[in-house]
Amino acid sequence: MLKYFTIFSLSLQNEFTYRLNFILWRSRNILRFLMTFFLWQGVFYSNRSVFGYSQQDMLTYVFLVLVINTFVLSAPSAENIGGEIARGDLSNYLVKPVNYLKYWFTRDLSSKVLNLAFAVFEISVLALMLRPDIKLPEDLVNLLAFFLASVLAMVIYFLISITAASFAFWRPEDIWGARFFIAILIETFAGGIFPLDILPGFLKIVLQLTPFPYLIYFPIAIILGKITGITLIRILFQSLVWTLLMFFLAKLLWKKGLKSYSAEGK
Amino acid sequence: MKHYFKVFLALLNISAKNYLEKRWNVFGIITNSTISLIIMVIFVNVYFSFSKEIFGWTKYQVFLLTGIYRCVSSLFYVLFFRSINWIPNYVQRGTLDIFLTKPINSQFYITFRLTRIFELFSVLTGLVLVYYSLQKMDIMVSIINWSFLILGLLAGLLILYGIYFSLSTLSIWIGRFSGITDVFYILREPLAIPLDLFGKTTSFVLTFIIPLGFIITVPVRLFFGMSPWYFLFFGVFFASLAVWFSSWFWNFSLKHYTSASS
Amino acid sequence: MEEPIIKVGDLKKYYKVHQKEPGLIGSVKSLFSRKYYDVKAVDGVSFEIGEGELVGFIGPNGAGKTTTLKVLSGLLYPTSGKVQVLDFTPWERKTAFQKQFSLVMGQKNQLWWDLPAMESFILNKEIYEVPDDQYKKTLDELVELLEVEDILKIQVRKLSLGQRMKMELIAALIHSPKILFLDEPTIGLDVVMQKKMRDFIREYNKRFNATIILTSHYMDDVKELCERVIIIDHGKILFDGKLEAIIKKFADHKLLTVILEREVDAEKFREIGKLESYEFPRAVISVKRSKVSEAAAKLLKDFPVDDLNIEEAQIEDIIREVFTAENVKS
Repeated sequence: MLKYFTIFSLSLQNEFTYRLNFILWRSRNILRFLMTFFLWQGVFYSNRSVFGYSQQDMLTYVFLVLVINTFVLSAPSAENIGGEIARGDLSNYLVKPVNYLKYWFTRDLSSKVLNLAFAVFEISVLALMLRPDIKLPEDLVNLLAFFLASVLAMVIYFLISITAASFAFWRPEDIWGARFFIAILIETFAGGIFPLDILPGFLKIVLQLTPFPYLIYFPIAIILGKITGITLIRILFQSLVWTLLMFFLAKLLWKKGLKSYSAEGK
Repeated sequence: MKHYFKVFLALLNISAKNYLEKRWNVFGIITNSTISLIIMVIFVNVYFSFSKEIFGWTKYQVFLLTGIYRCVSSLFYVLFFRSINWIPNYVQRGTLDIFLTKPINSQFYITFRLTRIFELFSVLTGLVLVYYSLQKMDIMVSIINWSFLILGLLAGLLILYGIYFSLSTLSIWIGRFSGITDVFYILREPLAIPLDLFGKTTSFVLTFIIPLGFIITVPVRLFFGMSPWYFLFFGVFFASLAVWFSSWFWNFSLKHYTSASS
Repeated sequence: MEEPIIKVGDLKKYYKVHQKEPGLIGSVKSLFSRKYYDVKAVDGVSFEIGEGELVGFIGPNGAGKTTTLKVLSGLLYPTSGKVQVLDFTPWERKTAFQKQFSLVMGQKNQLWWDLPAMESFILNKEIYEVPDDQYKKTLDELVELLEVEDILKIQVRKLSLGQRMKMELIAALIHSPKILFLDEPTIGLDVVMQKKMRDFIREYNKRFNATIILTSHYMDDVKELCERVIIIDHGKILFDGKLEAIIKKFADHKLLTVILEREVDAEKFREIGKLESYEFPRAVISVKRSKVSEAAAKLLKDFPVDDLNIEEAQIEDIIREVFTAENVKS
């Protein structure tokens, strides 16, 4: 366990070194948020309510997207694993007494902690400037559910990225293609740009058959109190199912991938 | 100069062959561009489902701009993106040294070294959207407006080049600059829609202070006659400024590189 | 001597490096303030090299060899000093200058990884504006010299390290440069490839009368290749001249190697000189230069000698002496 803590600490130090890169990454997220915010403002110029959301509601939603983004969709593992496989650097880790994937998950966690620490600052500034109307539910059940949903979201995202990264085992030349593809899907269908409940009925159902909405939309919907009772339990359950599904998929792909990787004698 | 043209052709050639070595790439582009396009269309539809017009732009005008954005963005990918992206790599691995000993302008060589000619397919998807929007709008556009558009976009491409190249040059000053792709996305994302949609102040800042507006929005406004004709000259001015600055900053940074490293 | 093509006068190159303390606290500190200190990579170096010479820069890592080479090829701006290469000031990086030299740095390759080396050659041809017929002629000569006909069309990533080095050389020489700068050319190669590399360098120097400057920390490179050697350490030149001169100047002893017919008490060798090593039947004794003949005669007379050999001291040892002597002085 101690070794994972050391990894955690070293990883934090690492992130400091690349402070500029970190600032850039945060800027990108903030820019996204601002863009989406301003865009929606345009729509509300001539309309009181859009899809049942008032301007305040939409602002709150977009704001929460920024918050959730900070700890769900941030993961150095997503960027690095594919490359390490492609370059053969993976071999360095396979000989060490540290589980490669656990190692990256730990690094991700340290990165998320760092992000949260910095994000608190920037989010407070933005909150003061724009005053979103966040009504936090007093319901303890809701808070707990949100917590659970967020944790599952983080895990699902991690599993999605390592699945995408595993394509590097078979196609080391083109790790970016798979990543880009997944990134586009996530951007659109996780609910980062617009709340998913404005989509027509059948689309809503189709989306629940993908792992994406559980990353952003559902955690937000839960904390906004939009999902309660039986539906809440159902959604949490579906989240869990997806976590397990992705877990097994990732496990399978990695098993096969590692086999083919060692077969090439790297 | 003939020499530079020949080197350019040789680089196009070698890049293309290099690209074909990875067959998966071609398939990857086709799927990615098509999906990106579909998603854009969904998004714009959602956005305009309550208002006919937002900040002076109608739905099909936005579609047209999105198609244009696709074309320009893809063109940038074809010519410059990968090359500029690799600059931090060259600096870190020391490959920059090898380029500096070659009898050719280093900025030119690096800029055109990694072209992706097959990315032109994405330009096609953009053109499809443009054509579709024009059909739906059923308007007559004069040759003059077409030329304003083309010239404006060329200037815009150069502005994007200048800004991105200069930012990438920062890797000479900063150690590991892996954030370079993030920078590109930061620059590029706002361009996908008319900057006017961001409101008056923001769009002013993004047009005249950081000349992003002149990359896509203003040329398209010129096309629809929404902006006065002399805006084209502003665009050209900013383009020259951007390219000049990138060159100046590159040489300035090389001075630092050649005196501070070992 | 005719006009030298490389002239270096009191070259100095200093640069600043910052320190960072280890640990998390150190990282946070470095966010706010940094401590810098001066590194004197090259500290007052002067020499001249004539056309067609084959010169070796020898020194330990960090001695300043690579830095000097980089200044000569125009990659670095010196802190002070005068440098002329082929009547050009290198760091102005004039095209006319760049077309006449080539720089090969061991680990930094210029070949396109996923394509056959041939493609990289063609690209270089265009960059250096080599006329078609000259290109073909040079290519054929180099291919023959390096024996690589059958691997020209194979992708670079599929070649062995030795084969890749050969291709890098061709890419670097396709424009027939007058001066060739080689930075650690044999690093990472196996013994066989090292020899092949040295043979090639020697041959190229002879055939094309190209001026070759190489840096190395391998003694064998020096031994095999360079008539003239420049020893550099801590940014200063310790010695510049023929290899034999070093040996004569700094090696005050020679090595006598005897093969014995039967065991002899090690103590007895003390009468002859210093016993460097003794493993029956072989003994190595180091003897002062002036006393060599006397010692040899005594060995043959008093010892059961089967075979006797007289050699110069190991170059490594000699050069090590040069370094320590100079360090003691300064």
